[in-house]
Amino acid sequence: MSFRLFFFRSLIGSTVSIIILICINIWIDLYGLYWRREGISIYSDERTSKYLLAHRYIPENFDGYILGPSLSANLNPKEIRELKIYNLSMLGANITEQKTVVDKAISLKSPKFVIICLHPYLTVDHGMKTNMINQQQYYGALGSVWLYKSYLLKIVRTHNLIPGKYPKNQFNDYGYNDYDDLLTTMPVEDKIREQMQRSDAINASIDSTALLEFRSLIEELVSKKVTIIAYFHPIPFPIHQKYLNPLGDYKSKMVNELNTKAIVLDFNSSKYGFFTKDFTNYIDHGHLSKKGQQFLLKEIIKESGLIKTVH
Amino acid sequence: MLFSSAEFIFIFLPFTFFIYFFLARRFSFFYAKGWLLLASLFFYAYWHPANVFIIIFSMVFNFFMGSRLSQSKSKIFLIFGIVTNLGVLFYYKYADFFLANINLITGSSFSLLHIILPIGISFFTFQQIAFLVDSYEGKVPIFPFADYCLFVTYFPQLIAGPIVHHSEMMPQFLDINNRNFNYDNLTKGFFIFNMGLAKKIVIADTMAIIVNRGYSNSGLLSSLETWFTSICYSIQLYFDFSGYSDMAIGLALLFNIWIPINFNSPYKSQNIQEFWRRWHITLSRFLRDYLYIPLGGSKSGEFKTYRNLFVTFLLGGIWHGAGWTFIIWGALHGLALIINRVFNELKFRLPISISILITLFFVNVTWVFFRANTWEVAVNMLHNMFIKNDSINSFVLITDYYNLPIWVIAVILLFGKNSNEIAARFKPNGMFLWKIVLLVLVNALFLNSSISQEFLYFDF
Repeated sequence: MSFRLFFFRSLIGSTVSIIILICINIWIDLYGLYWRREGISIYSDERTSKYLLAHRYIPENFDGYILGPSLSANLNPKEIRELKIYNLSMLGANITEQKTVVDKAISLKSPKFVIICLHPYLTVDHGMKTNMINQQQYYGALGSVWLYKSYLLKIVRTHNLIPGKYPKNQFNDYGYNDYDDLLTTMPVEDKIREQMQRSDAINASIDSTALLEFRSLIEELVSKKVTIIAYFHPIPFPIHQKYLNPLGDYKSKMVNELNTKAIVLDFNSSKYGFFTKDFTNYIDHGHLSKKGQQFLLKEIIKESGLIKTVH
Repeated sequence: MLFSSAEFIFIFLPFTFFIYFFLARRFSFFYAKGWLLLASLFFYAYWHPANVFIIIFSMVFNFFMGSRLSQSKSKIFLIFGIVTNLGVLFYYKYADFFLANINLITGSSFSLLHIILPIGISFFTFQQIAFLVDSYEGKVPIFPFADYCLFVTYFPQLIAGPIVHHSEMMPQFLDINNRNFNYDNLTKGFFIFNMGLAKKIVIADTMAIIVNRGYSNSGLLSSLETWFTSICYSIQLYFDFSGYSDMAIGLALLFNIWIPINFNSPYKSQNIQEFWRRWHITLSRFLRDYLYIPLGGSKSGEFKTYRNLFVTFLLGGIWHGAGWTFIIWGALHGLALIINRVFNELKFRLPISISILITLFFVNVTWVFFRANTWEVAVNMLHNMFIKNDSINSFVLITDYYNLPIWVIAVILLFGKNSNEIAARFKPNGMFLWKIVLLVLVNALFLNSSISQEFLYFDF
């Protein structure tokens, strides 16, 4: 074979191989970017997956979103049959990351409502914590190493090959992240006791840039006439009591930010003392147990009158 | 604009390539080379546009000095030329290091200049010092200024070498046959470039994940994790820099220019002397020809030979960076070369496998000084490596094992055939067709996967 022929064959061979791979990935469409419309779950990285799902799948299929860090990520919206809610919360997410994902979803279609989990963790810092949320991931969905890692994890999860690390039904197609078993390391009482002994269990300060981003998100939602329900996440009573003053300051600042723009629910008020004093509602010093999750979500829906508002 | 970036591969390179051959075919070789020079300057300016004036000043000054030296053979001119080049390099690369140490020793408080190092300055300074010395010695024929500028700025080798010599580049820029589109060179260049790209983005960048995590948490690593981090860095550095060199060789070949190889399986070396014949070959060649031999080489007795070796490698260490860690690294290699020479004199021999292991062990340990950003990090690493670290903490170096196959492939490739050997056997047949398609496919996947990391040697 001449060098000329070899060169053109190698160019054609490479191009055709790349096109075939891209076509296969489009056919699989793990993130609903091209043709899949329903029932798309998450198999690998939650940040990348929710960011990509926010391109089409989420705005086209859901009426409302739950936003927040891990504290709200294990609320299962599929249990609320009257409403189609997607849980866009992400483990470890701050406002920068959360806003980027929400912005992507809103850019295609505005939701009817959002439920925002208010906890200092969301606004204690700003900036991307990883490079998992960026536009390059969109092109990566055509073929990339992490896409193949996702395929591998889909097989692992579907066949329950490593249940300890990648449980079969950790995520569902409503964005619910059932991480309870992964995070539970010790009895709740011990965990709360351990946190009580720490001086930095809760950092209730608000980063100034994070606050600007939060404000910007709220204004964006208001301008699109999205109903906002913001709730102060229920913190176990003893921890809340220990940090009563800083958490009080945090609450007043956030309420001030939301002003009349949102329906605000406080699950740390005395009305919900029965909940925050009952440690069976928790799996650790803040994350909720199944029982706690179910109560909280139903209570949010009931107190906010969402079902009436939407229908 | 990294060689491994999309804007380089899909915009800059095709644009430069097609216009070069269009001008060479339709107009003249002169215009084509002028275009290549412009493209190279653009490539350089892409990082920091203002720095293009530094390289232009450097070229004009050195070409003028070289022309004068060819005629006058004035030693004062030569010294002036070398001192000016080193002065510029010192200002940009070492001024802050110098001031910081003056402040430390004398208790003074000179403000640091915080100068951003112009990329590739160490490389083009050395190339041009060689040009001045050879001009003084009457080894440089007369050639056009534009060709000289192209020799200095030629984009494949501009940023991180190989450190090319005017005697191997200028005849190629003058050879009229190189204006013709050549499928042999194009195909080989394409293949070598893809091998280099794979070394960088598949192996080096994967190793970087462990290395960056390990070195930024050096105080938390266990002994085993520290050794693993250091070995990963040895692998990363080799694949990163040799990958860059392969890409440079491949790119140059697209334009019918051969540039010298820079690596030849260095981790297979049986002693430190052999290591330096296989690692960064063009730097070793420069240090030998323009520092070690002028100092007297091995012709002035054993003691002076040892002194020359030590000084050469000490300066080689300083060339790599402004910091005590680089100085220590250079000094350790200088000492190792002296010890190796003593052993050779005593006819001391070890079995080959033991020799390779000892050399690899030494190189791996000394890379700690090369990689550590601070003295404290280097000490932490060495402490962990040689004194058992019993500290208990929750830090885990390896969080997942998805990259395990790449680690294994990297180690196999270190001791298998290197890219020069594979390229030398390259033939346009079915087997190589499969290899090239697979390489392009893998590279496309990895290119589309992550944000590119800079080449390690860009800092030097």
